[in-house]
Amino acid sequence: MKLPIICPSCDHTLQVSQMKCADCGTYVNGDYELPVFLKLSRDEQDFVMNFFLSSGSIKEMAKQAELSYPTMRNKVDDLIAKISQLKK
Amino acid sequence: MNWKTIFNPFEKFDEKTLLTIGIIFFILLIPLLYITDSYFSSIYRIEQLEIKNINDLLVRTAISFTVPIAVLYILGKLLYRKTRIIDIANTVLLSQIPLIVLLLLVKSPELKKAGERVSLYQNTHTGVFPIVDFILMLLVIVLTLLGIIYSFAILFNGFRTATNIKKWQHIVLFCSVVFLTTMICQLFNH
Repeated sequence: MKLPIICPSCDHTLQVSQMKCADCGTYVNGDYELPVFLKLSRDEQDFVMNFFLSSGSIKEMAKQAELSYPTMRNKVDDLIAKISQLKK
Repeated sequence: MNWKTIFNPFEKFDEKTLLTIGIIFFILLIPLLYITDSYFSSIYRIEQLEIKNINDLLVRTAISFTVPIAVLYILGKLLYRKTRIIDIANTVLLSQIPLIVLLLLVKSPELKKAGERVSLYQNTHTGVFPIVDFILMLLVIVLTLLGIIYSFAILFNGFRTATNIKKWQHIVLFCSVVFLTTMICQLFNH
C-alpha cells in the first residue's frame, strides 16, 4: 500500500500521529515528522534507491535509464537540491 | 525517436556518439565549403571567400566553431561547476548541422539559376513570370528560417542540458552571450 505523504485537503506534508506494534498491538501516539526520504515522491524514492543500488554511479544509472550522462547528473543534482531544501 | 529527442538529442544520446556525429559533419563541411567558395565567419553566418584557399576557409571556420565552444564553456563553468567541455563542444557542433544542410541547399546550382531567372524578370519585366522559381525561392527562405530556429533550439537545449540552467536570468545571459560572441566573431573573422 502506498504511504500518503501529502495532505489531500491542503497539500501540506503529513505528520505521523500514530504507530502500532504489529506483534502486540501497542499504539504509540505523538506528533512525529516524516523522515526526509519518505517526504520524497514515490518516483524520487525509487530513483534514490536505484542510485544506491548502482553504487552511486551516475554513468550506470544513465545506462539503465537509456539517458545521457548530463541528463542523469542533472536529475541527481535536482534531487540533491530538493533534499537540501527539505532538510532545512 | 520522438520530437523531444529531435529537439534535444543531448538528453538521450551518449556524448561520444554525439561528438562522432559532430566531427563527421565538420569533416564533410570542409569540401562543401571549398566547392561553394564559402566559410563560416561565425556560427550563424556563412560568407563568400574572395580568393579560393582551403587553408583560409579551414582556419576561419575552425575559429568560428572554437570561439563559441570556449566562451560557452567559460559561461557554463561560471553557472554550473560540473559543466564538461565535451557537452559544450557537442552543443556547438550539432547546432551547426542544420546550417550545413542548408548550405548544401542554398548553394545548389539549380537554386542559383532560379534566383537569376527571378531577378532577370524583376529587372526587365519581359516574358512569363517564373512562378515555379519564385515558389522555390520562397520555400528556401522558409526552410532557411526554420533551419536557423532549429539550430538555435539545438544550441539552447544542449547548453541547458550541459549546465542544468533553469533560471530565466541565466537563459537571458546565455542568449546575450551567444549574440555577442556571434557578433564579435563575425567582426574579427570577416
